[in-house]
Amino acid sequence: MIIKILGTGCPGCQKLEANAKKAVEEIGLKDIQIIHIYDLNEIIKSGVTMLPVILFDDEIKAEGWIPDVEEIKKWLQEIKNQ
Amino acid sequence: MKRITFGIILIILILGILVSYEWYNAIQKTRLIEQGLYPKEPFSINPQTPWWQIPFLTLLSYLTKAWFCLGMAFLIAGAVQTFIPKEIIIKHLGQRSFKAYFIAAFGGPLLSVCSCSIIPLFAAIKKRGAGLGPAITFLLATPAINPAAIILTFSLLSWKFVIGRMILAFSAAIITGTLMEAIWTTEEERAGSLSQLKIEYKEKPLNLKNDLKEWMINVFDFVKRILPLVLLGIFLIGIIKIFLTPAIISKYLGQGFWQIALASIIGVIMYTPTLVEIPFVRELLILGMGTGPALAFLLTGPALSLPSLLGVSRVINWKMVLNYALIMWGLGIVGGLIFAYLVPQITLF
Repeated sequence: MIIKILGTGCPGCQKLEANAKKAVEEIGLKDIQIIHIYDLNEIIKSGVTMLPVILFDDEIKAEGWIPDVEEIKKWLQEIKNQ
Repeated sequence: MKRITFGIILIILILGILVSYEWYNAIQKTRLIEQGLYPKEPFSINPQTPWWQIPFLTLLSYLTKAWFCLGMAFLIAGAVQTFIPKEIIIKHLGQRSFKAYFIAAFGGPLLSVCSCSIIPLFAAIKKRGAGLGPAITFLLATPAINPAAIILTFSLLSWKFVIGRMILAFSAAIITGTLMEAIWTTEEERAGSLSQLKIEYKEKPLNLKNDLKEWMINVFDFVKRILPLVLLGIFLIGIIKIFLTPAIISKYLGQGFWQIALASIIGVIMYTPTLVEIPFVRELLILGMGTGPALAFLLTGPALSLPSLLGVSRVINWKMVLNYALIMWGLGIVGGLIFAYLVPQITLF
């Protein structure tokens, strides 16, 4: 799976990336790649409205707010259980 | 109780505390002055002050005056971020209608708490929502009519500036948006492109402990992000003050048409971080800036800057960007003239 983070480098966006990294680490899922997209044109093309955004394989999990580590872990756990 | 109701009550409560505090202080001060006692400035600057002390004294004097109001402004900004669901506003920006302009002007400030979101949001409103006009209105109104800026204008300038700035900024944003829509949007575009700006909105129940914690986190985020810029901005104002004499200020920024035009164009070009425009104008007013140029700068200063124009030109054609910058320059002049006519002079405490 690929976790994508869209953000322009503002503090909130950086925090989201850190939270996602920590959640992946703590839950111990392998084969997860985290990409942070900074390019504004690409962000606009993807059609989101508010930043930061976190996507699991192109599915928007959060837009315009910063989920904490526990929340991201919950989503990861659901995927792990499937 | 709903989360949003709780948020609104909280915001009104904080506003109430702030306004009573400011009023109490103002009444106290007037009473002292009536008795012939002038309240002493703790960090006053006079012609004998060594030049290198001026920036530090400016900063200290500002902090003693504004710490309470600034603190309240951060609490309110955090509460708006935490308790007011952004989805409600965005939903209304998905329709092409005249109402969208008003929502963009009034609702924008409630949305744009993260400045990194402004350009993507602008693109979304333009391409998938209400179209170019409201998108421009949103872009221009947001920095001028947000709660923190209003509170600080009230505390550091005066209620006359609050009213003048709000009404004129609001009108300028809507006029510019409407003009841009009329000039640049073709008939096909107006007829086509049904709105796709949809957003899901889940109402979250109120969870007092968690929500208050989230509020505090958001407040702390704002302080961390904005306060350093504000402090740095005021220090720089102090440095500028070393070089500017009242004679220079009254010549170039005193009351008058060319002075208003100059202040307006400075506002269009110069980058002014949020909230810094207010102490900046205050210092210049004390040194002899006219009320007209002051308001013109408040209209264009935070809304436009060279960096923001460049940022927006990645989403829309640079000719459009130049066009709205020119319109805003003109409206800054008009606004400045109106304000100079209505409020020719002002005394600041």
